[in-house]
Amino acid sequence: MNIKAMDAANAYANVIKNQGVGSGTDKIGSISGIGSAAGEGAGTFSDILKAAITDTSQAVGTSATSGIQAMNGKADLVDVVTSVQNAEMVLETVVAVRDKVIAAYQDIIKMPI
Amino acid sequence: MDLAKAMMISAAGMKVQSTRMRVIAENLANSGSVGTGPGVDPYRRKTVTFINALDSEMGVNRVKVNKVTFDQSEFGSRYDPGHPAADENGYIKTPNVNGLIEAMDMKQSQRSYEANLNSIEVSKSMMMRTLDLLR
Repeated sequence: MNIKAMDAANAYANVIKNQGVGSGTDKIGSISGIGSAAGEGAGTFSDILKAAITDTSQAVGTSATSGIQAMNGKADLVDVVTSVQNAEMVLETVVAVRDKVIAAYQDIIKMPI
Repeated sequence: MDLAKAMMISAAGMKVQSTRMRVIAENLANSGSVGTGPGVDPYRRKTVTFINALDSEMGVNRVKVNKVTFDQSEFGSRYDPGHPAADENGYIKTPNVNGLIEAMDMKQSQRSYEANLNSIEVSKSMMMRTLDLLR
């Protein structure tokens, strides 16, 4: 039940790198030191998005399962609260990263050539 | 991620306190449970002990319930010759549960639970504030 916030940051750095807009963004990625996932191989933006969504849906699914168990009187209240909180955190992280990536994409699209 | 681990550790603390609360409730509820006949022991007070055990899944030490054991102190006695559990001198054994001790235990358990809740709240707000940097 890890919340992969730093992974998300890595993914964001990778996205910036893979967009290949120019050497400027590359430098930003390497200077901040978060784009260190070179061993993983370059994932496309859709791959990253897919992985993030899978993570989210898993976390949400776990929280739903424990919620149902709690209704049947089988789960501890503490377990339910922590799994729901975990799902919330993962979702918030994914949404924040998505917003940021889309904003960056739109900035590039709107760039006058 | 350490903040998530901190939350899990606090959640474990809350779980053991709820077990402790359950045992206290048992003690209080049975404070009048005497034996069914002469020579039969009445309810014996239970106590909980905790242990700090490694959780290999998370890679951290978390508090767990070690054992629910019995309080070995002496039973009380009361003069009640009409009671079915009375011995030849008219005395019955009463449980070794002391309401004041249970009340103090309960208060301590409540405070500990609240401390863990606060710790979860702080961990969560730290995570949220970090995430707000992205916005």
